[in-house]
Amino acid sequence: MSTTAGAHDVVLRVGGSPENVRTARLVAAAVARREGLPEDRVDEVRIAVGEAVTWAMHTAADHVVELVLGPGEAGTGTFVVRVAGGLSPTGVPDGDTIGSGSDGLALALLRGLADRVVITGQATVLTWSAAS
Amino acid sequence: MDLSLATRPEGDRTVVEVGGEIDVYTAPQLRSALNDAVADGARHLVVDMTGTEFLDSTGLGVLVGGLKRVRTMDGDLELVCSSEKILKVFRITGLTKVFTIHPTIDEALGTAGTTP
Repeated sequence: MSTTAGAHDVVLRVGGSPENVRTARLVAAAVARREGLPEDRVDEVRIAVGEAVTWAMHTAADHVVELVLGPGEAGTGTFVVRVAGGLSPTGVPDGDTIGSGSDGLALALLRGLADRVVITGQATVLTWSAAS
Repeated sequence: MDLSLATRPEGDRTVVEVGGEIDVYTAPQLRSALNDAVADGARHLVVDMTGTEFLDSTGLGVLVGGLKRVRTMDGDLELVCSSEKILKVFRITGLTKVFTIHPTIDEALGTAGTTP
């Protein structure tokens, strides 16, 4: 997939091994902090991005997940994380995710932790307002 | 390792102490520890997450699975957690209604306060 990234964005590609989910969380936390999110929101970013990456990892055909993290549109004061990696066309993983029954919980966490969640066939986009 | 696990008997309960991060990578180890405890005859489990720094939906799934399992054997699985960021995960998913969550291990074991 093509990636457009601005000068302030961080682009991270991780292989599909579950141990890489933590790495993605750490990078997301670092960029969130840099964008001025307070610490309790950084914790929310960490969990939500971990969920989105776990989900994408499970369904990506080549199991490589790409994240683009950075400020949202200029003037919006937002922090945006886009997680891509082969979600199913309905945007919801079919069959089992790791730990059956967890996908409902994952979705609840995404919706409860991010200010905005958009799930398309290509990506999960999470947005936080940088102002607390 | 990112996860530490220690299982010990406490009276009629079995305490599984979990430290570090519980996520998709480490949750299988927690599942194994709970399964091993049950296989060894434990029915009243206390999962002590005092030292747990991170919990995701995979970890929640393992805890729910463990709870369901011991309940079919007339047992129970309770939690110890006082970290706001982890309690938030239970709250958002509605699982505070499913689990009994104690703030300390002493309260979970009923050993807080005067000695019986």
